[in-house]
Amino acid sequence: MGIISIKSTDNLFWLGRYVERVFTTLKMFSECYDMLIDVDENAYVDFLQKLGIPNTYAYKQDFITNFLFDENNPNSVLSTLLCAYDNAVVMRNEISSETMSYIQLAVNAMERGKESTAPMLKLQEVFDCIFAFWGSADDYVESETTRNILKFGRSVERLDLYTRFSQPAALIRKEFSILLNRLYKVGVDCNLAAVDTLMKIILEKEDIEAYKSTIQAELARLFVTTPPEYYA
Amino acid sequence: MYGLIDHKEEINRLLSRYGVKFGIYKNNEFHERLFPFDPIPRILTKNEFEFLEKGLRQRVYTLNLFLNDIYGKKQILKDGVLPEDFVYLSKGFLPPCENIVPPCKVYNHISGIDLVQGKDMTWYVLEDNLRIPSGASYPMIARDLCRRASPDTFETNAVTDNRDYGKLLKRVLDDVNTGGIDVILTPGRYNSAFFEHSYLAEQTGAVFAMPQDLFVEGNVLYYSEYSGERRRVGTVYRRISDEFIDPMTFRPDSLLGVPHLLDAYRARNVAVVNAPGNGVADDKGIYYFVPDMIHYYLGEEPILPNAPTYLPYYETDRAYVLEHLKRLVIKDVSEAGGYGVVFGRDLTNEARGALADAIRENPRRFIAQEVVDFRELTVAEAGQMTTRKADLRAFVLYGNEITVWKSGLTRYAREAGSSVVNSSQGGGFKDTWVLSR
Amino acid sequence: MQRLEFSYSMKIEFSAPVVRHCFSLRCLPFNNTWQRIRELFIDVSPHNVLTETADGFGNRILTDRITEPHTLFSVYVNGIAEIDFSKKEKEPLNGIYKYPSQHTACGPLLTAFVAEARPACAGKTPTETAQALMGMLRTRFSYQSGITGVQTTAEEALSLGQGVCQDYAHILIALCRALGVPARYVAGIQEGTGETHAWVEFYDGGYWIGIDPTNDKMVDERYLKLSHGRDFADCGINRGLFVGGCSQKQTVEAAVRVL
Repeated sequence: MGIISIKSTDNLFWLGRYVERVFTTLKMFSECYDMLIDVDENAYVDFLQKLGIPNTYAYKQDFITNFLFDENNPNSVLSTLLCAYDNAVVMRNEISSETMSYIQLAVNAMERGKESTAPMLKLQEVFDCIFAFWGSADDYVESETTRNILKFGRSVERLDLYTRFSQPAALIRKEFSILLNRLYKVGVDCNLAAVDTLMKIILEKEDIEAYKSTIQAELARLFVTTPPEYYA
Repeated sequence: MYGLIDHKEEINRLLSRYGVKFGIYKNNEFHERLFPFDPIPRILTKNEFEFLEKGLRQRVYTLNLFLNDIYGKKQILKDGVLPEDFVYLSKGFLPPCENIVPPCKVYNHISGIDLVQGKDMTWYVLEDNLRIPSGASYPMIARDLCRRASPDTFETNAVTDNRDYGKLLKRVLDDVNTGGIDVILTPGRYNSAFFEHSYLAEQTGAVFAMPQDLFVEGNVLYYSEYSGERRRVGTVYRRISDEFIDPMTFRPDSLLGVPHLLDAYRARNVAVVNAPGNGVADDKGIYYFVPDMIHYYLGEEPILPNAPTYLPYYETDRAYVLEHLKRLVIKDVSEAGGYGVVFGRDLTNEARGALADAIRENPRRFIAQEVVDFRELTVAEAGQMTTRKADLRAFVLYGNEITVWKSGLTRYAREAGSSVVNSSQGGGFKDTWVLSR
Repeated sequence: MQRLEFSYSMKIEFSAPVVRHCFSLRCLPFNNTWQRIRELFIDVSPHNVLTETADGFGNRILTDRITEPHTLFSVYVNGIAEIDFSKKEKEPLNGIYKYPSQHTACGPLLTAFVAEARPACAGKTPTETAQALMGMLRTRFSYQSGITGVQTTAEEALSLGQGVCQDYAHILIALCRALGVPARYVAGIQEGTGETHAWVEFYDGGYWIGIDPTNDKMVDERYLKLSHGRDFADCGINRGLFVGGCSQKQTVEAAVRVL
């Protein structure tokens, strides 16, 4: 097993989260985009609300372009991807140059998408890169701990977004069992009280939807992140 | 080789995929720039490389003797080989490092020696970089891509593989290791050579650390792991400059350093690569005396000459410099990275007058050199072949023995006619081939 | 020979807890041929793995890193020393003490001072030169605390015309070096009770000789030497670094009693 510092576990966890955030957000965005075409030109309002992002967009096209590509808006997909990049670039030696290159390629694809007249077509490349990223992580990341922390981050993010977008309870339960499974493997500190609460809701409650905000809050404190004085 | 030229753009694209970048600060903002790659290599024949290798070993060996002497007995000063002003007034001379004997007595584990070749094919040493020379990662990664782009080229030319740099570096780190893990210490993500730091960590398998991951206790350097365990560090290859490495001794406001690192190093509990204090030996003023050092320490003739250099500190040299200012290049000894270098011919009469006054006022601050008429190398520029001035940074590794890396970083100037090849000034790079026959 | 009892005590109170507190203390007196330490008691609280080491100037340092949160840091050192100048031995000169340093570079005022002093010092021995310079300094510099700080350079202090022992030492060092007499900064404790003291050593005939410009006299066997260096920056008695805390209050009491 590799030698890994507190800061590195933090970077890996957030790398997993941000990559997944880009991925699932884009998936949900594609559905929303389809509705925007000829079903409901205000569909994005509901979309933003689910994500908990303030609606700062004037109209449909403003939303489409800027939600995807506005680098100055921290909530945009591009900004999220750049956050993934920031966490990946300091982890090159752990995740390998090869795995790292897919994040770089995804950034390049997003930047080309910004210039494209058909950005939705370009986004396919971003999906491809993310799939390749995970494939590469499985193949090239030597340390099991590293892989587990990355994927733990992915599970947490996925569960959060699935809840926000009211995905079927069965899907949420399935994702949660993956997360629990990872949790045992990860070998990093987790907030056990949060795990407990999540288990009680997701596995036992009929109406998961009603507990949305509790689930989100518990997920947020699940991973014990680096204490702030560490950075001082 | 034409296969390489045809694929220039694609190779550059792949380089960007691997994040081959360097950082640059412009108007106080951090930008990452791609480092343009020209696929036409600089080619060194077997004989030519063997000649350079001999000269570089001699020079690097001597510079290490000098550093041992300067932080120890200072015999070279007592014997009057070089005026002590040049040591004691050098910014790179660090009295807190006095009397430290580094593991294996090696100071300059990684030397980047900048060479140029004149039109008459003579090689000259232009500068020694003994602190944190960077750039080895670029040709290594470029070679990998070139071999993919044009396998024929490498089938027909006997090019020595240069992708062993990580292994050579690891061997040096292990040679000087005092017992513990090898660590590469980066100041962080916003350093101009961050790409290289992380890439070398990957290539050597050394632990990649940020300053906050390390601490010293009881004169021993440790790496703190997530699990709460600590690992003893035997070698730290630090990519943080001297003044920032230990706030308890050097700049107290440094947040990049590891407190008490110098104490652990003095106690010989850790090897610091390169050793702190090396700046005294790669000072532009000290450079003038390297040939004398070779005579003094080895009793040998220097194999590689310096570019013809004058020291205004000496009256005869000063008179010569002031008289021929127009055709010389003047360097401020305290600047680096292509800054503080002016060509007399580029100056207006007024500016030249001001420079002459500055030299008279503070002669110790400057050196002057004849402008070496560089041999130009062919580059492929927008499908056309043209030429650019280029230098060669040779990497010399010093652990239990001295090894010259069979490659090097060839940098070329962005503009035709210009001799400024620094990447921070917009230059590009080439691979350097050493032929095995 | 003089027998001295000495003590040094320092307390820092932090208004909020600090962690990861690293420190280097230069508060252990030299133990050499002419300053023999016969007894030594050290108490540093809190501490972790207190380590004695040395720096590039040959000073003794105590170092440590306290990880536990704490609001009080205290250091207490005391002991018995025997000072005997007749046991001083010749020492080789390190060239660093001939050249200006961070705090002792000559600006226009010091340069003018040097020009003025040069004729008076012509042909004199280093000892006579240092004494002459000390005499001249007295006429244009007076003791006053609260005017200068730890960052004040010799040139700045001279322009203010007032300062403390550190400033006297810096100015005299700058003058000596400019006139070709190697000189270094000394931190230590003088007879009596109060703050720590600073003076100068200059090099004459292979020996380092102490001179105290603040008190206008040569250093005798009633001074206890803690550290030396190019200037104040090399001799900080407590150099520390920590995370947390808001404000801090430091109290120091140093004493030398002749036995």
